[in-house]
Amino acid sequence: MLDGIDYSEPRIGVFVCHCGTNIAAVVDVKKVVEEAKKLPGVVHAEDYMYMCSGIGQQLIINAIREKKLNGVVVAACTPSLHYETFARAVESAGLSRQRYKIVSIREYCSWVHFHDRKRATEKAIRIVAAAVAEIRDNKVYEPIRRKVIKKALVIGGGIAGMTAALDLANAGIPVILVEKEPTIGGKMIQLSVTFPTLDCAQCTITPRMAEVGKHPNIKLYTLSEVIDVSGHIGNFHVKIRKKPRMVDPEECRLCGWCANACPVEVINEFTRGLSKRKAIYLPFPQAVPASFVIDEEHCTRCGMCVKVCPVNAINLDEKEEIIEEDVGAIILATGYDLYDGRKLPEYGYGIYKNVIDSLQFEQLIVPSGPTKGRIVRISDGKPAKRVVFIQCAGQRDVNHLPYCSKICCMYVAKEALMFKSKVPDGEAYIFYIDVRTAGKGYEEFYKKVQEIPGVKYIRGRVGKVWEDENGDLIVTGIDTLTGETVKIRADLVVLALGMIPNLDKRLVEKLKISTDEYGFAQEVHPKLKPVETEIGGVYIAGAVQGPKDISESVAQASAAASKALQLLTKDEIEKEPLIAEVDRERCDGCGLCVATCPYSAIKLEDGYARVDEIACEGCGMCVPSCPTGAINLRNMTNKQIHEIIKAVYGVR
Amino acid sequence: MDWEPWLIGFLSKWTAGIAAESAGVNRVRYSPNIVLINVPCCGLISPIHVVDAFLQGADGVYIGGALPPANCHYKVGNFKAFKRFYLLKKLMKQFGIEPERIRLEWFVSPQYRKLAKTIDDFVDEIKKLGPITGGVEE
Amino acid sequence: MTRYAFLELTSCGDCLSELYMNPEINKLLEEGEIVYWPAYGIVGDPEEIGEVDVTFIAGTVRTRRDLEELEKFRRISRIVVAYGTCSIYGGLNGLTALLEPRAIADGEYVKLLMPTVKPVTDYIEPDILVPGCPPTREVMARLAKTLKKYISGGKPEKKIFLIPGEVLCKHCPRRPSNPEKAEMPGIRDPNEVVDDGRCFIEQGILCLGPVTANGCNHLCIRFNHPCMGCMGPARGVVDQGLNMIGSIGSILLKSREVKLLFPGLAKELDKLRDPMGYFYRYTLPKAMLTKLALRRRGVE
Repeated sequence: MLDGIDYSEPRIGVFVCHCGTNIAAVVDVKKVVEEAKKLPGVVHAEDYMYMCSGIGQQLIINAIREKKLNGVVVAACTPSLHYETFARAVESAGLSRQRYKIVSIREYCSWVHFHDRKRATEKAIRIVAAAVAEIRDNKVYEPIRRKVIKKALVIGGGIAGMTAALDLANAGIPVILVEKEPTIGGKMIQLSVTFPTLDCAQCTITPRMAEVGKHPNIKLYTLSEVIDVSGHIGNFHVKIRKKPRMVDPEECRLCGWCANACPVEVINEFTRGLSKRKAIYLPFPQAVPASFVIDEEHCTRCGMCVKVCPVNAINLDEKEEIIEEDVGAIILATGYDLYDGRKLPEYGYGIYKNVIDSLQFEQLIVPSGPTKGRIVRISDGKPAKRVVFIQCAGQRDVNHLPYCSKICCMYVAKEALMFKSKVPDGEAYIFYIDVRTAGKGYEEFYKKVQEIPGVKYIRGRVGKVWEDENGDLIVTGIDTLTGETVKIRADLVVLALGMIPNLDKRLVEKLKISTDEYGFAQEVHPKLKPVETEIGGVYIAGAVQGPKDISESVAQASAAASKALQLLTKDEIEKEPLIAEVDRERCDGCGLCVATCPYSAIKLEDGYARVDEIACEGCGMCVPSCPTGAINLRNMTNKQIHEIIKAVYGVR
Repeated sequence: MDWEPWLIGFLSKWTAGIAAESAGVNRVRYSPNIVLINVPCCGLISPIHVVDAFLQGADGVYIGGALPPANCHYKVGNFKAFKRFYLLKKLMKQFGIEPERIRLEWFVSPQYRKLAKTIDDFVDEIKKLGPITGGVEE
Repeated sequence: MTRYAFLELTSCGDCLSELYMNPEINKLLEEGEIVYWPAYGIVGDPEEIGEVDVTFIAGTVRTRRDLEELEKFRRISRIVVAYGTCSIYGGLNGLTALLEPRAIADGEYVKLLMPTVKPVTDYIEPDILVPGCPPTREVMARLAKTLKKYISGGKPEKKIFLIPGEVLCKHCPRRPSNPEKAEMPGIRDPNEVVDDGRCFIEQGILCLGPVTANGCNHLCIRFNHPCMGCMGPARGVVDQGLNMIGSIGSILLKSREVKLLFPGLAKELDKLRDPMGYFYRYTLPKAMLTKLALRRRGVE
């Protein structure tokens, strides 16, 4: 492919993009071209309105052929947007992508210096000069190939994780599914019905759970957490800590004698504290794996359950296990949690029993829930006739969650509707700031709820919730549309708490991915790469990336699975060969680079340092450690850095 | 004197580099008197590169890396850079060169406002310090 | 008869005396003639000496007279030997590099000084370079051997550097047994560390071995003293101090970085009170930062 390109003398082409007016309105593009032509090694420079367009790309291809270019610098937008676009164009003209560089004069220049055209232009020239200096000494290296392990790890067994796992498994890829809880199902299994169709959530999700549970390609680890990840795209080594279930799921017949015998009663987290369970328990009837489990923390090891179990499925001595697996791709789908309502003391959450969160309210609606579907006051079990919903309980508040949690408007509408269907003479008051109903059928659904007699939407914030001497809740707030103070006596107050990421910091560190300022996993690009992370081979799905509803989570999970498939269906992948390289002429084998490398990628061999090209990540940390300048990062060598600086200051 | 500073910045492409990109996307304006070069890791930049930049006319050198402890894409590049440049600053002081001419800033990628603000601060600071040549015409 | 000149610029005066007393060199000198060596009373007007075959130059260019003599002798000499670290890197004499002449001389003497001190190599091209403070006996023997080749005429085609130039660590008797685990555990005062025979850096003692050329056969190290850098930078080392910072910055407390964080690391680094003194004892005039500092003073 590279035949016919002569690299003996630099022949560099510079292509400057106007990006419509995005660049050209600030940067004097013509001047940049003019100055670029004077740079050493540059034989051609031109500008075009949209370099990324078909015609723009063709300009580059033609110039490579006609002017015999052996290097290309594109000054346009950011590499994360169009690096690949131009790399393909350059390659189609027979030039290696390693002799091409795209530099941003939009994000890094015109978009931030619109107040100073003169200096922005000067800066753009310096940026281009630096890129030319860098590319001038770029060498063409053979790509490094490595094998892909055709197996995937999915972390999180909620609707997103299950969907991704099933998509991969159905495509023939073995999947390890790791779930922290004793059963898969995530948050969705706690829901009553889903908006806007009012399908029963449990009826929707349980078949999926069962499918995951018995799929031959899925290996399910419940009560498990990923504790270590090493390796790289196509070849990760993960360690999983599996806590003891102490009940053999193969043997357990779900008779429940053990739970009857168990003397320890604790709060049931599945119903969010609305009921109690035993220390040996079945999380819920449709749990997968379908097996009782012992709550290690609360079990007193009294042995009552062991005595009554008819199939000897219980083993109180079971210890935690560390499982090691090799996988090619990882999908992170650990979902969300609700914001801690106790941080909003003015609403009385955690103070008054009848102030509950939206997931607790779901449990009141579910026919199989702790109240068998009756909507009651938690304090005394009396029917709840009047319910106040508080939307944006913490969301869109700089002191709590500055972002919009996206799903709350819809689930509150749904919960109000469910409440009215169960308590036809009941009244629902909904405090809102705005109602956001972007989604198919969502606005219609909201309109329907709004028109139900007894459902009152009040635009405004609640000031305070307190309990009077009768045990009724008093909600005061301001209706910002009328400007009047509102005071409502209520049986229940439901806080529509916002979604926060359920993402352990240690896991983030192990995966080496980044998070946004709220702790949600960070995608590479919000529009174009929504399920990729900056770590190749690690994908994200569901609410761990940001607030989203079930349909979006499912869509994203399938997207993540499809991205993972693109990787896992390959036998080997190519790695960019931009790794550290040792010049044996200059290496004295002192070993400082060996001591510096965080990947153990450098070893001493016959008195010289040698870089393991698979293990090397190309960070270049070893470069300054070398006293003699013998180790360099390919295509970003010490000499190139010197040339870049020289080029930046060569422009006067 | 019509001198104005021209600074050079080396940004870790995973953190500060992304912040610089977001600053663009969000149109956060900052001083144009700095050329930002993306590198894989600030741990690639050696004290020699920085002093080289001064010798070639950089009035200040800005290094943007990952916020410790856990955000460095390569685990510990930020620590390497910190130690090297902390020592270099001490050394510069002994040579009578203002250590403030090296600016180290640490980021997680969403902190684009911080990037813009620290660059503006840095440019102002260097304006006060004057040219690296100490005002001597070459 | 081969004509030799001994030119001592600003220096401690030790190097050339030692060289003279070396038996192999002395033999050569006996067979030839010393035409200029003021320190030993052989004085002459350089203008009238005529052609010189070999001039040994030691010391630094500190005074204007140093520079005049240096240039003159380069002109009249067939082979110039830059002898001793001072002549190549500045050596201990170079430690005045950053001082203004006024700070080291009074009154009219100030005028006699160059604005800064520089090694010989900054002004002329020597033919043979012999680093060392002072150069060792092995190196002197090597010099005698080299000179013999050119006694009857001719000169080296390329500059000859008389020491191998590899870093001291390469053949160091204290090399770490496991380089991957090598770590500098902190910055310690050598006087407070009980030497256990391991690599000095692994004991927290600053040793310039990684950036210094081996021309001494680990003399200091064999006598339990860390390298101070007298042989000058090893081949490939751009700047002893800056390269050293790159190296120790990599492995200082590397296993505790994440625990100590920046403030903890800074506290440790602050224990290094005088990095300039540590790193540039022998090469201050050659430091990149010296160049920068001088430029700001308008000297360069």
